[in-house]
Amino acid sequence: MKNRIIFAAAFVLLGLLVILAPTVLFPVCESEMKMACFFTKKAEIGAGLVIAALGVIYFFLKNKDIRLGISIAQFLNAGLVLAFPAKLTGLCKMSDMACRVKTYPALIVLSVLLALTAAANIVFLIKSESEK
Amino acid sequence: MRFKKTKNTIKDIQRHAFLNACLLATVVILSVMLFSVTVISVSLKKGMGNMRKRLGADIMLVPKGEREKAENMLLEGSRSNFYFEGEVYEKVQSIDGISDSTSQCFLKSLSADCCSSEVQIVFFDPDSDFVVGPWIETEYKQKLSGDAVIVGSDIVSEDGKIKLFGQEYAIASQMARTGTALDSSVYFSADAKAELLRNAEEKGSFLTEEQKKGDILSSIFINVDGSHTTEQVIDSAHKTIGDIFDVVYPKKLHESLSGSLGKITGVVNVISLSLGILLVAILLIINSIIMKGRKPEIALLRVLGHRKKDLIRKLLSEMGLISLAGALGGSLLGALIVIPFGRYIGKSLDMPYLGPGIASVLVQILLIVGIVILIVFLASVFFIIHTTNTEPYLALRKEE
Amino acid sequence: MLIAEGISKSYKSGRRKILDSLEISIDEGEFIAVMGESGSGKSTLLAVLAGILDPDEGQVLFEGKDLYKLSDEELSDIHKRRIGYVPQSNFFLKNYTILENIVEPFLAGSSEERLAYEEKAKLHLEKLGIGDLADRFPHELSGGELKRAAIARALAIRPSILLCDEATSALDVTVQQEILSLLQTLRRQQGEEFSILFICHDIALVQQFCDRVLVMYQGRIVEEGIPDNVIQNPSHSYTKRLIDSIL
Repeated sequence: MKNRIIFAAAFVLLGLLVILAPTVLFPVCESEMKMACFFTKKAEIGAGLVIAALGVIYFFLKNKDIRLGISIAQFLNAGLVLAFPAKLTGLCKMSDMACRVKTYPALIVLSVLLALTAAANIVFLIKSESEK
Repeated sequence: MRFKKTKNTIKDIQRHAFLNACLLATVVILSVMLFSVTVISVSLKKGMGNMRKRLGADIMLVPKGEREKAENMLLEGSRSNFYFEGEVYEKVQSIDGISDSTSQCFLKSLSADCCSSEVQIVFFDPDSDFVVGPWIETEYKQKLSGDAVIVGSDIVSEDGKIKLFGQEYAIASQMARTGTALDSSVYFSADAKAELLRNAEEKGSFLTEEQKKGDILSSIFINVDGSHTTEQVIDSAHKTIGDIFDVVYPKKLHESLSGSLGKITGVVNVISLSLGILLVAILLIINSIIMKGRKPEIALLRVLGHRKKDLIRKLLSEMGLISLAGALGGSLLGALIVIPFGRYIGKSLDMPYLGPGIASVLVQILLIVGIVILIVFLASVFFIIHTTNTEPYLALRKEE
Repeated sequence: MLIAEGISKSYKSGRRKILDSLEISIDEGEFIAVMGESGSGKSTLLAVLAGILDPDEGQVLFEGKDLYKLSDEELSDIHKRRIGYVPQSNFFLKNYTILENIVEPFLAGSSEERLAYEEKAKLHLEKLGIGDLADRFPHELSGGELKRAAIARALAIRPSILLCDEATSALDVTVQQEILSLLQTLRRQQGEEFSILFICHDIALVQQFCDRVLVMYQGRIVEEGIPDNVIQNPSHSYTKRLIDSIL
């Protein structure tokens, strides 16, 4: 029960932060032109929604195996959060632009935190399963 | 065997979970702070040192009224357009007391489809240049041809090309990082000026009358020779070309920046020192509570025949494990925040910032782990020795 | 075997002496009870004899060696193998099972040594009637059960002498009797070298089990002898009062 609340909350929070980072907290470059970081922003909103939604679903699941599956998915999602700016959609070419100075670091931090959270939960769930 | 010992140490730590968690949290905060403060100040200093080298001219002449823009360009890399007539440079060269001089011309690119991104374009004269050259990372001996460019370290290009005003240019070389926003410039040979201006106009860049003239330049960098003062040279310049320029003193800019760096590090040092003292005080309090609580346990173990020496070792290894975990975790947490956000930190401080490389980060982490373990050791060794020296019966009796 | 000479102790300098120039000699194989009202110095005496409380004056000789002049190593070895001490408080390590608590001094030893030790510890726990509680944690046990576990812990080192501070007072009389008879059996099994000194308030038990009884009053031993003699013909006025009050 405790595990479900803590990790569900963590996933939802991190998911929301993934949405908020490129939009509100550390916004990408402003420009009328649709630059690379604009698409990264869109992609991160999607990724963040999925992460948060999985967090909500996680809360309502009693089955440990499914929860384990969700945690694995979240771990991979962490990679996705990083992959959008790093490879898939990219960022502006100039490394002193907002998206590289602010948004990218924020996404790196969020991605690492999400990966660590998910990994911790995976270890926890596997351990509690094997103790049975 | 060794693993088992560690396991038992962990078990012992868990028996006092709450207090040890407080201890761990304190250690983590201490380590995050130590790591961030040292990395930031080292990076600022490094950026500063680089900046000094970067601003490698005694004086820089810019069109009258543009001094502020020019300074901002040097310090913050804001992109600017301002121009002299081309003939000014020749006149300046005739002034006495100049050991080196070179001219540059600036042009803003557009953030439009035609251009990879908005950059500052700098035309420099490879023959007389002494400002850009030292920063070219890979030796670039051949004369820069019209369709090749040198880019600042911040310019990101996957295919070795950069597109400006509809034309692609090969990147011949990339400059070393300076930590200033000048890293985001693209450097052309002066020969390419005319073509580029033409392209710019075609692609809809609004060119001023001056720019259309083509024979323009934005600033003149001058080194004064040993037998003249800077003032003398400026005076002669006034006489020669008239009152059409302002003077920027790049080295003075550096001095004023150094001043503010001093202030910033001063403030940071005071804050972190007082925070550090506070944290050490918390550490002492937690340790005294932990050790007080463990007196009966230690007493019991002594009754059961544990040696003082072994008990001290056991307690110290618990402390050691906690501080190792805390220091590592704290440093990594600090690294996770400070390193990606380094540029942002530099920008918000308006200071040149040159982040550390992986090797120096690792050294930093090792250093902090060492320091933190030492601090925790010093903050606990007294209590540990006191506790193990307490007569077992007295400690057990107090438990009742 | 254990001889105390001229022992004085006060907890704060200048305060009343809790032990006052006390002399005691314990022979091998003796089963001794210490009686006396609270504050008479019984617990302090046991602690001093056990080598865990340095007296202000006097010396404690264990097999001819002064306990308080030994090095840390030598004293630890004696505590690990020769002197068993059961404190008044039931102090156990949390997060460790009862069995682990007993084996703890050997945790650093080799695993074979440990296994052998565990077997012995289990045996003691069974003899003390709490064999089924070996894998429980201290907070799951009652006060009486903990007391037995504490005795098992002290016995597990196969001591030459066992010092029990109020060891049995938390237990009801039948259990006390059980434990004391167990101790007596153990003593017989181990041969005549095993001595026991314990604090007791129950005269019947003292009479039943002990070779000798000591009566303490204000830091001194005011009376000692064979239990029957002491109880029937007390010579000191305090002993009379004590016996009257208990009987």
